[in-house]
Amino acid sequence: MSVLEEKARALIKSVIETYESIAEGFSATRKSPWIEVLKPLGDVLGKTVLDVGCGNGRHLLILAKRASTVVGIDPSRNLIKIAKTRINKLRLVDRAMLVIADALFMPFRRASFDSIICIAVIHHIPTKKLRRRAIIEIAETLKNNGLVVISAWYRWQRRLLLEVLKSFFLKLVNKVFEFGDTYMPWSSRGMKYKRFYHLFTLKEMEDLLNHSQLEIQGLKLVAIGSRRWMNVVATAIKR
Amino acid sequence: MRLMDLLACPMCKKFPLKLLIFRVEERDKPKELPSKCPLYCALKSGWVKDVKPTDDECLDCFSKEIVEGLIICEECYRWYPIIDEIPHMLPDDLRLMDPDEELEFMNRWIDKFPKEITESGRPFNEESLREYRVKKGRRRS
Repeated sequence: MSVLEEKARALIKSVIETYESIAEGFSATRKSPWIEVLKPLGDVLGKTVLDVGCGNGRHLLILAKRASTVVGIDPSRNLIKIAKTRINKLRLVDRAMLVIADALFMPFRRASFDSIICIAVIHHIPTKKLRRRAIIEIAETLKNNGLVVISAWYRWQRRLLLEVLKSFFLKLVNKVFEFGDTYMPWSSRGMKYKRFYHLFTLKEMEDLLNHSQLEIQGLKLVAIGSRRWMNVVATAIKR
Repeated sequence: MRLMDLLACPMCKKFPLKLLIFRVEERDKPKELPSKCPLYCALKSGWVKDVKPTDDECLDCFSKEIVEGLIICEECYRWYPIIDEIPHMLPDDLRLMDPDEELEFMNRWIDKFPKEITESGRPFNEESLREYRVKKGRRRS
């Protein structure tokens, strides 16, 4: 690994460590699924679906009502434990399964899933190179003609203006890899944590997917919830 | 157990992987069969096309929950623990970052680890376990 790659990998480790520490509080704020983002996936009746970066399992639980098998992966052991408790409580054990895993090292055979979702995950991966690798891993895991829905936080929204400005100056002094990189704060029990984000543009998402076997079907901004949090959402098919 | 039809080694991508069951719990069978594994049957340790599991056997498989077990890659000698029903399939660097849970698992089940994994398993083997035991002993005293 080059120095740059090592730096990027270290940053991913710090994001995972942060999620391990904030898992409970974070999960409490992520109760409802992003229905708006799941919509392009269509009906998953009878399908085998993978949720990459499933967190506390909020999307998994919805998908398990229709799909024949849903598998959720996340590198945070603590978030997976929360997801496991919820699956047990809702008696979805026959359909929903969990694996502790890293999206950059997918633990699945080629072409094993009909559909894949990757919601609010890819923006935690630093550098274009590693994001491309994650997309290639996703594409490999997907069956031919399988559908994938990928979302990331959108850069150009007013509430992130300060973050974007900060990122611009951090890039000027080479403290981040790219313009768009930023560290978002999270406070919990008197502790302050920072998580790495790369805030996306539509063009970046398009470029990212064009570097894989995935063919873009839809690419748009989706406003989520009453706070209208803006996300870049891409739908693509494996060819 | 049905995950074995999907799981491959995250490092070398070998499929299928070998499964050793250490502790299993029985649970209610589903009324209808939710799905059948398309490729590999871990219950009968073979390709579906060869071992041809019946629907009854598949229902039986749904009633078995592996609580603790070991997943082994026979290609690269990596091993992955199943702890509290969840397979831990992280790449080496993330396992080395936070090794205690997996080494504690190894310590608990070492008698059931196959010899070649104890000797040359990756990223943890008998040497890592020895170091872990020394560290643990020190913590206690």
